[in-house]
Amino acid sequence: METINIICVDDQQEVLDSVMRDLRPLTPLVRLEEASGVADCLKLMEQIDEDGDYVAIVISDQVMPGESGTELLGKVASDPRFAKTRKVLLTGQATHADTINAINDGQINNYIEKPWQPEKILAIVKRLLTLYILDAGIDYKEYMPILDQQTLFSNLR
Amino acid sequence: MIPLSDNINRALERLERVYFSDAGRTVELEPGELLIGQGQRTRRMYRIMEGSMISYREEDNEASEHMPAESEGRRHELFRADAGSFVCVQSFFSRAFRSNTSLYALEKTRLAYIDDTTPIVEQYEYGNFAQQFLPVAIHELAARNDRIFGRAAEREEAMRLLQRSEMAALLGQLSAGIAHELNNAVGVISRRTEFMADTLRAILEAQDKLNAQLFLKGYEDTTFLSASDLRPTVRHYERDLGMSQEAAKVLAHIAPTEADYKKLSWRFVRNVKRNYRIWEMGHDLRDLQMAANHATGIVRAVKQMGAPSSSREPGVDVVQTVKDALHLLHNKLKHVTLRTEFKPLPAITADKSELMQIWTNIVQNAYDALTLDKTAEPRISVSTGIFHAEGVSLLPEEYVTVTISNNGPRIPQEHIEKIFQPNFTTKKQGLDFGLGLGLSIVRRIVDSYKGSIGLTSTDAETTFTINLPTTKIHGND
Repeated sequence: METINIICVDDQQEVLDSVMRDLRPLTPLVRLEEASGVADCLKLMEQIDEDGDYVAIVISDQVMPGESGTELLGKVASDPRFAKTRKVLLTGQATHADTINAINDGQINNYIEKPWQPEKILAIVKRLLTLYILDAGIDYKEYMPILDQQTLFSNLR
Repeated sequence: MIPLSDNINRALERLERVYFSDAGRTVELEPGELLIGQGQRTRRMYRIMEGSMISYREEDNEASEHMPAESEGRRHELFRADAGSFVCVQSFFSRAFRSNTSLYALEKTRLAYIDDTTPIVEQYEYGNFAQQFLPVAIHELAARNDRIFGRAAEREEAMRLLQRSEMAALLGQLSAGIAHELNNAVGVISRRTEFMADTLRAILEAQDKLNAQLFLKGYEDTTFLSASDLRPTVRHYERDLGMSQEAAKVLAHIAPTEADYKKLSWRFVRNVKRNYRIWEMGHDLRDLQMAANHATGIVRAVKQMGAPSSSREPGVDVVQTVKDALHLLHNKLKHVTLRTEFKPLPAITADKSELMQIWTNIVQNAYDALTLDKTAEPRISVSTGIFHAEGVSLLPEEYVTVTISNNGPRIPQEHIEKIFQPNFTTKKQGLDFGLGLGLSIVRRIVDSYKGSIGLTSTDAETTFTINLPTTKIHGND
């Protein structure tokens, strides 16, 4: 069976640890990966693509050393291999301009503010994951326990 | 000098020649001597020939013989007038013949006057009295306008400064208040975390040695490996040991290398596979503790910054103030490699918040320079040490030294000369809140400690060195 990955990107390990923990209910049906920066994330995505696996969602911090979250998500958006990948910005200190860029260039699907509520981030990720699985034509039945039922049914109708 | 047209200046020169050159109509005053008191009668209008006068408005309406001391009564300076100016103009032209201010000589002063009996000269050519003296009225009007405009500008500037210092004071109070509240909250988190860790450890110890070991490895984890460093090891453990991703991650933390792994017992590894959550729990408590320490550091620093101004106390640990300042800037500095080398220093007499202002300003500037320049691999180094100035008997001999350097762009020579002046900046954009009050403040504070600032800048490195005399030998005790 194919592996579906969700990648979380942040330069602070504590943040990665927390997101990983909040999304743990999704395992082991999907694989959670963490990346410590933009370059690391792109390298990881390259690897996943080579293995023939999927990147369903990238959840990125905005302010990081080197490139920003918006720049990362922009690159993901313009890469045809990841055209279906859903993009989330998770940040506490994005400026107004950052936010505009995130929407226009990063084409983000969701914006989550730090600090976040665990149920909320889990719900958002489930919804985006459901859309991705339908979009990518993956057999959704395997993933039923972690899909957002409402999104699933309204899209199957 | 009041700017007037040549015509009027020529007319004024003629008036001086014709009306104010009569040796019989002059008065000489000693410095501080009263010419005329507020409310007193005079039929004269004076022109200041030499020296200068000062005019006061007195609230009790009585002028004394001599210029009173600043503290006496309530009086307001209205204006100062020097040679070429006229006084008692209004009382003369209005025919009120009563001075509405008190006029004193500021120095040795000679005045010439006319009064209402002075005959009109050359009426046929220059017109009647009013026509002849119109330039004096214009001169007076211009002088008054000049004074009012100047006063208004001064007042506005004073209001601006007042407002700014009030804002700063308010901000200080506010942050001190917040810091106090947070301090208690953070204290609870920190203390209870420790307590919980101790209890859990004791319970696990009594139940299962392997779990206690696992917990402790999580709680005392000091490996700071990034996600990318760990990833290959995690994959390796997942495949070879048939572990879940989560368990493999824990094992990768405990044993990042093959050699580390070989030291572990088979039973321990099996327990990681099953009970990795116990390690995570220990690790969570460690993170809590670290976050609490970080918060404590920031709260401490904010409290210091907000502390009421300059109370210098003995026994100040300079190294601690540097650490506090770095704490405060922690969030910014995470994008910069920070190297520190702290040698313990003798305590000095100082105001902690002043010292912190010095360090935060310089470090902040270094950070801004690196960011603006987009320096590759930005680095800031901070070190402390002791410096002896030998053989210069006039100066203090022992100094504590704080050196702050960065690998940002070279500061041009013409900037080095101006860098400590108020209002000098190369930062044209951006809105920096609060801390960046500038190097002029640094200079002022360092000067007040009889310290010195050194600045060297090359293409490779820019270094600020702050020297403050120690308690032992001079002044600062």
